[in-house]
Amino acid sequence: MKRNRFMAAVSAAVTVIMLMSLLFTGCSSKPKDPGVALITSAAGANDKGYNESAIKGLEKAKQEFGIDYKVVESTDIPGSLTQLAEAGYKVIFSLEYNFDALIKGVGGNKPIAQQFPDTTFVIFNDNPNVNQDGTVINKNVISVLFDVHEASFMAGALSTLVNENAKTLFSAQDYNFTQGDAGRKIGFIGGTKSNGITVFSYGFAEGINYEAEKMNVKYTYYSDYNAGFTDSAAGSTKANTYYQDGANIVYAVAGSVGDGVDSKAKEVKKLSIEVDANKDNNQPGYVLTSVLKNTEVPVYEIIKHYKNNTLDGVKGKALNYNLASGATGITDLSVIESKIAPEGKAKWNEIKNELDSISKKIASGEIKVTNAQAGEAFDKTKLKNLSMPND
Amino acid sequence: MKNKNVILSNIYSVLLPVIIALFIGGIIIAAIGENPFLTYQVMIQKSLFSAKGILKTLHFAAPLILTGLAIAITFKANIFNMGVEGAAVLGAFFTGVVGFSLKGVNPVLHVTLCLLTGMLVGIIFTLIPAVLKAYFKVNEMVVTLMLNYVVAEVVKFLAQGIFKDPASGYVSTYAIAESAMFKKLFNSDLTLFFFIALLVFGILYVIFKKSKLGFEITAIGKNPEFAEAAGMNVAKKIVVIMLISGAVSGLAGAGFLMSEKYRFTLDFSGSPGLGWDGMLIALLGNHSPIGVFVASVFYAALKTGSEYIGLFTNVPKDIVGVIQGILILCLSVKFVSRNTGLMGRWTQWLGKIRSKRENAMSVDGREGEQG
Repeated sequence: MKRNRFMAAVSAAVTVIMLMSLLFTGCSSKPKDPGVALITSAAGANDKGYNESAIKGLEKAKQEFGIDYKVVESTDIPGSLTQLAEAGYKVIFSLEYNFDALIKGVGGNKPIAQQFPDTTFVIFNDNPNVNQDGTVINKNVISVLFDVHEASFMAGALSTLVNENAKTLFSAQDYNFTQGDAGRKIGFIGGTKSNGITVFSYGFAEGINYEAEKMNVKYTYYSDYNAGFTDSAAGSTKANTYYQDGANIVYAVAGSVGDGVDSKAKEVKKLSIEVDANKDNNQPGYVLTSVLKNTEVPVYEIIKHYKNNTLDGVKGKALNYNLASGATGITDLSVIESKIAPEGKAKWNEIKNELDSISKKIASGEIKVTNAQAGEAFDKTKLKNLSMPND
Repeated sequence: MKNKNVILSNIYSVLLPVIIALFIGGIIIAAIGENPFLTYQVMIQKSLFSAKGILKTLHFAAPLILTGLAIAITFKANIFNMGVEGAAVLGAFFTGVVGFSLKGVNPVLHVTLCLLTGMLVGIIFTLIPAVLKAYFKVNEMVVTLMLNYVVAEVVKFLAQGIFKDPASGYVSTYAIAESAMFKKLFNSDLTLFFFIALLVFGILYVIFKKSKLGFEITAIGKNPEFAEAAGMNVAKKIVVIMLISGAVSGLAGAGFLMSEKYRFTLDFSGSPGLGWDGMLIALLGNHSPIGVFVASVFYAALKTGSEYIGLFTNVPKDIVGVIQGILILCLSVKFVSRNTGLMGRWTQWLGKIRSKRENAMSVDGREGEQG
């Protein structure tokens, strides 16, 4: 009989727990204006890049305007969008790629954007909010796009410039660059083969080619689009094959895979390029630069519009952040600059001036960079001084 | 009396891991400075005690019921089919292909075609390990486990290549046509797919409990040599069992795509994936159809609840991952105790100290434990 008594006790305990939980029902009270909400991408809130900078933008807006925010990590994006809109959030940022339910509606339901016309939804990296004839589908959706192809072009140009002048720029004991033609190779590691990744790669390749043509040297470009976004050990291994083959610079656009590339760069005394946030200090002196995709800027600016009641001016639009906006570009290079040898200073300033002029040429339209994200086709045969054997 | 004990010990072997997991999860929530009762209240109330919530839970339970059953049917026969995940993903992928390639088809026909595609792909996929196991005595666990990786790479290749939606910034195939989508019912997340899952559940329940095949599954599970000696064509039965499992898994993937995801992306199955969730559910449900059903709903409630935790409290939704982890741990303890008779020995030892009458009781209880 002991056992039955035990079972009875257990079931009693369960019942009590269930009832207790019911007791709490209904005593939650919600504030009138919950503020703004943000749904992170799969990388999560502490990814040191894309999501974290967006949250920085929220924090900055909170400090300045006193607008509360809520950060949500979710795997059910449509469900969370609906829940947040129902809970009364008026501006909802979604950093994840998942637009069907929001923009077009699925399973016979109205689009979420249409169900909550008073809520403004902000999506990133894509503009699905247009019909085929170019008209806007939902008036309350804002698409945020970054011209990362231009920023990558800058990084590519910088790579060629640094690689060609490595001997003058750096002191020999700090680095171990492969010299001559054997070292005219640059690597790219991407998380997956999608437009969101190739946009970085193609801009980068064009940047390398731009300077290579100027200096009349031939470069080889190795690319790998299968690194995923989490395995930094694999990133380290892949980068190593490039470095051992003679590449002096490897650019990783693959989330935390880049951490492994950076540490390998330090180990072999070569250089890596980072992405999203300013990660130049990841391995100081071995990260050449970071290609910024700073979500902080648009998040802050959109909340500012919300605060000033000027959201109507940007609703339904695709906001393009270019080099001039500061939301994309390369870092100020201050970390790598500290490694420049005294006799290389003059050359370094020359390189920085060249970068400035490139940035101006991009802004004026003199240099046109392929934007794979916007669906532009990339033709590698047009790059005369760069061969891309495995792209 | 004995029957009652069996039922009780079954309830106890399912409920106890759940309670322990929730209890430890509660301690962790308290440790990060949040109110565990409030957290669980949000979770339970939103996922089970609101009309929309329960329908959403059932919606997410539908594919889990199917993968759970797909695993239960093979595990019951002592065949360890680890390929449910692969069959579901592969089935879903080709369902997606049929979903977006055919245009202007009657919705009923289109949906039927898509579901059949999923099942067929599941069957073809499972045929490989089934034949290898039945006729060449190749360990099915190794083959099915490895095939999952093959599937992952194949669908990745196809999704990045010929079936890629060029307009999308991430790796994904085209969205399926409107006519292939399950319509949302009652202004909630629920779709017809749940009722299809229920139907399959009903069919499999009958197979398990009432049919000759159900009896044969149990017999093979208990002792395949004896089953063979008793005149059963064990090899053929193994193939049949595996193919049923494959069809059900393919259906799970197809339905999930058509009722929730609408296009194939690389994170389609989620983490840890429909098939792996199904395995946990089958274990939790003790490989019985009703157990699998209850476990699926419970598990889906945990999952939908976790989304709400993130929205309405400051507890990170990862806490549900912790609870799931502890759940798996408790379930494996159950296995250890079943395989080594640990619980029985313990009760026996207790019994020795007590009177003879009590000793008889605990042996009785031990038999229930093994049931």
